[in-house]
Amino acid sequence: MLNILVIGNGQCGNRILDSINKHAFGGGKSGKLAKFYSKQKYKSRVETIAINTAVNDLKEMRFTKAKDRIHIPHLHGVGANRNIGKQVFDEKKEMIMRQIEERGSFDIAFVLTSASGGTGSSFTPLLVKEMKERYDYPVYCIVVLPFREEGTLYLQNAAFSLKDIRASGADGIILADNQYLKNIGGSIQEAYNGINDMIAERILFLLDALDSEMMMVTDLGDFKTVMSGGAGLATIGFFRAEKELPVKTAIQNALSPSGLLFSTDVYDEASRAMVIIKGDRKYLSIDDISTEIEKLSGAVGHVFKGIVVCNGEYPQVLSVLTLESAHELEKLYNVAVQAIHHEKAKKQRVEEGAEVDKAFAQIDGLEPEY
Amino acid sequence: MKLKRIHIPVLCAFLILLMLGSAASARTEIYDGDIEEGDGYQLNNYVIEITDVFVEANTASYYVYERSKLIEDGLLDINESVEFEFGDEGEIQMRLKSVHSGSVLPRATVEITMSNYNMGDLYVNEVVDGGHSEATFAGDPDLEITKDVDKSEVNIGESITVTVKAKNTGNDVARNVLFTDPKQEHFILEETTYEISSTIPEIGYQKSTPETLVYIYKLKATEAGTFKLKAVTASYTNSADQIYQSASNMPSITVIEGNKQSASIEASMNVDLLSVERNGKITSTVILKNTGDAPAQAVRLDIKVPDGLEYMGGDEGIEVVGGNPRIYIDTLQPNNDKEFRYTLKANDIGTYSINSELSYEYNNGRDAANIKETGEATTPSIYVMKGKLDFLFEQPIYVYIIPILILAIVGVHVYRKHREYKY
Repeated sequence: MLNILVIGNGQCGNRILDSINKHAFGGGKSGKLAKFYSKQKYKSRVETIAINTAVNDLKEMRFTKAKDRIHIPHLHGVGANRNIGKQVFDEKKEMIMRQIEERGSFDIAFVLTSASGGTGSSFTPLLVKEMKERYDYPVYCIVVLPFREEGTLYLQNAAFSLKDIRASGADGIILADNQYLKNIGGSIQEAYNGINDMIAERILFLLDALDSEMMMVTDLGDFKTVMSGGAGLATIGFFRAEKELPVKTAIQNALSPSGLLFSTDVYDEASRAMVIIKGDRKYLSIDDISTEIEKLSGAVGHVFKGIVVCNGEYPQVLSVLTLESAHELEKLYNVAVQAIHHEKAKKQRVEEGAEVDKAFAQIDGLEPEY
Repeated sequence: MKLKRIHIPVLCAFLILLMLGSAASARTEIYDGDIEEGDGYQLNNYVIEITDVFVEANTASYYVYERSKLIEDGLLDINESVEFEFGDEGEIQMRLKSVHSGSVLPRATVEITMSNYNMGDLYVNEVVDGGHSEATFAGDPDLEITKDVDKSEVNIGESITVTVKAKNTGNDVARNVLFTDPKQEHFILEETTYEISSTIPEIGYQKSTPETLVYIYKLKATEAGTFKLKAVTASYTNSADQIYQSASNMPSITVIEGNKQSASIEASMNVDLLSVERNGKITSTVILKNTGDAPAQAVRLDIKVPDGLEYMGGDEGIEVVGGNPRIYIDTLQPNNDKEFRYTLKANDIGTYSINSELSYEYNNGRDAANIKETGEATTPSIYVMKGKLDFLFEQPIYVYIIPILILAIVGVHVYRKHREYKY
C-alpha cells in the first residue's frame, strides 16, 4: 500500500482537494451527507492537508476533516501579492512543515495549487523546496493556470509562480488550464466547480491506479519515469464511457484535446506517456489497446500502459503525458509579459500622480488671507 | 245621750255644707279683675265683652261671642252672674262684683270661673282691648286625604300605582302633619316612587294652596279577591296646637286569578362525531332554550366529562370548575336560546356518553320567592376506537428500545462526524 500525501494550497488547491475527498466518498455522485454514512475509498493511505491564509476558504470545505485544514494566520489572505505570501510562508514555515511531519512518511506527494492567486502561488514553490530538502519522496505539483481575462496580477503571478515551482525542485508539474477548460459552460461558479471536479476525478483515478492490481502493470516507478521525461511539465487526459463503447474510442478520447487538462497536441508535444485503462474484461480488447498504444508510442517514444479489470464497468482511460514543449504555455507567457508591462505602466502613472502632490505641497504651511 | 241629740242635726248640716262646698270648689277661677267698658275677656274662641257700665245703676251689660257669633247677652246687677256652655261639656260663669267710674271709661269688676273643663286646654285666657272685634281666633284645619289607584282591577302579579294627596279644606293651617300608610295585605310593595318621609311643618288652607303629594308607590297583587286598600291617616295640629286627625278614602281593588308564568329550559347536547379514534377530538354542541313564558335566571349546566375523555377548551361562556366545564347564564329570556361549543379529546378506548346537570330558577309572577328547577341532558354514545399508531404501544419493550438505540448510535455517529468535519 502506498503512502500518499496530497496538499491543497490556497483557495484553488483547497477546492480541488475538497473535491478529491468528496469523490473518494463514492464517486462524483456522493452527496453532501456522504461523509456521515460513507467512508473514503482510497486504496492507498492518503493524507490530505489544506493550507490557506484565508480562513473563509477553509470554512467552505465540506469533505475535508477539520484537523486537515491548516489556517496560516495572516489577516484574511495575502491579496494576490506573492511577495507577502512568501514572507508569510517564511514566518510560518515550521508550523506548516510540522503538520506534514506529524502525518508520517510518504511514498509520493502531490501539491495542488493555482498559479495565479496569492497563497497558493507564493507558498507552493517554497513548500516544495522545503519538502525536497527534508524528504526523499517525489513531490509533484498540479498547477492550475488562470483564465486569461482574470487580470494582469493573476497573469504575472502565474508566470512567476510557474517558473518558481519549476525551479523549486518539484519532480514534475501537471498543468491544468482554466482557459482551456472553461468551455464546460454554465455560470462562473459552475465552471470552477466543474474544473475542480474534472481535476479531482483524474487525480483520484491516478491514485487508485498506482495502488491497484493490474492485468498489465504500471506502478509508481513507471509514473516517476514518465514524469521525469520532457521539460518537467505534464498534463493528464481522461475519458469515462457512459455507455458501451470500444476501448479504442475511449483511448482516443483520453488523448484528444477534449479529454486533456491542458491544450496540447500529444502526438506533437508529448515526451513520455502512461496510459491506464479500466473496465469490464469484455470491453478490453487487447488488439484495440495495442493498436492505439502503438500509435501513441510511435509519436511519443515510450508509453507505459496498465490495465485494471473492473467487472461491469464501462471503459475508462487515464493518460499522463509529459511535454517536451508547450505552445500554449508560450502564449501564456507572452500574455503575462504584456500584463507585467501594463502593471509597470500603471505604476509609472501613479508616480506621476505624486508630481501633482508636489504642486499641492507648495501651499503647505500657508493660510489664506482675506 | 243629750249631746247626741244636739250634734246629729249639726253633723247633717255640716255634711250638707261640705257637699255644697265641694261642689263650689269644682269651679276654677280664671279671672278676678276689672274690664273697661268696650273691652272683653277671651277664653279660646269665646269673648265676653262688657258693652256698657252703668255706675249710677250698679249694672253692666255684656255680650258673649263664639268667634263672631253672638251667643249670649244681658245686663247684670252687682253680684248677679251669667253662665254659658264652653266647648263640649264645659261651663263658664261670670259674676259682676262691682262697677266703677274710671279715669276715662267706666269699668266693671268681674269674677270669671270655669267648670268641667281642663285648664290646660285653655290656649287663650286674657283681657282683649277693643273686645270681640279685636280678638284673634284659632281655626280648625281639615285635611282631606285622597288615595287614588290607576287600576281597580288587576291580575295576580300585576301592579297598581297608588297616589296619595292631601288638601287642607279647613279654616286654619295644619301644622306638624304626619301621614301614616299602613302595610297592605294581599299586596307587596314593589316600588316606591315618591314618599314624604318626615313631618310636614305646615299645610295652608287657602284655596290657592295646591294639593300636597304624599305618596306614589306600586303595589303588586299577590292574591285573588276584592280588597280595600287601607286608609292613609294624618295627625296634625292647628295654629293653637290642637290635635286633629284625618283619614283617606279606601279604594277597592279586584284582583283576578290570571295565569302563573313559568320558565322551561330545554337542554340539548350533541357531538360532531359518534365514532372517533383514540387521541382524536370531538366537538360537542350545547343548546339551552327557554320555552316558557318567564325569564329563567341563574341557568347552570354542569357537564360531567367521563374518565377517558378530556376537556380541551370551549366557548367564552364556558368556565372550568373542578376540572369539568360549566355553562352559566344570568338570565335567559323566554323564546331565546344560546349555543355553546367545546372540544373533548378521546384519551382511552371505550364507549362514553356525556351527562350534564341543569339547574335554573324563575319567578312565576305571583310568589315573592323564585321557583327552582333542575334537569338533565346527555349526548348520544361516543365510541372511541384504537388510534392509527396505537399498535405501537402494544409491542414488547425491545421493539421501542432497539430503534431508539439505533437512532442514538446514528445520532452519536452523525455528531462525531459533524465535529470531525466542522471547522
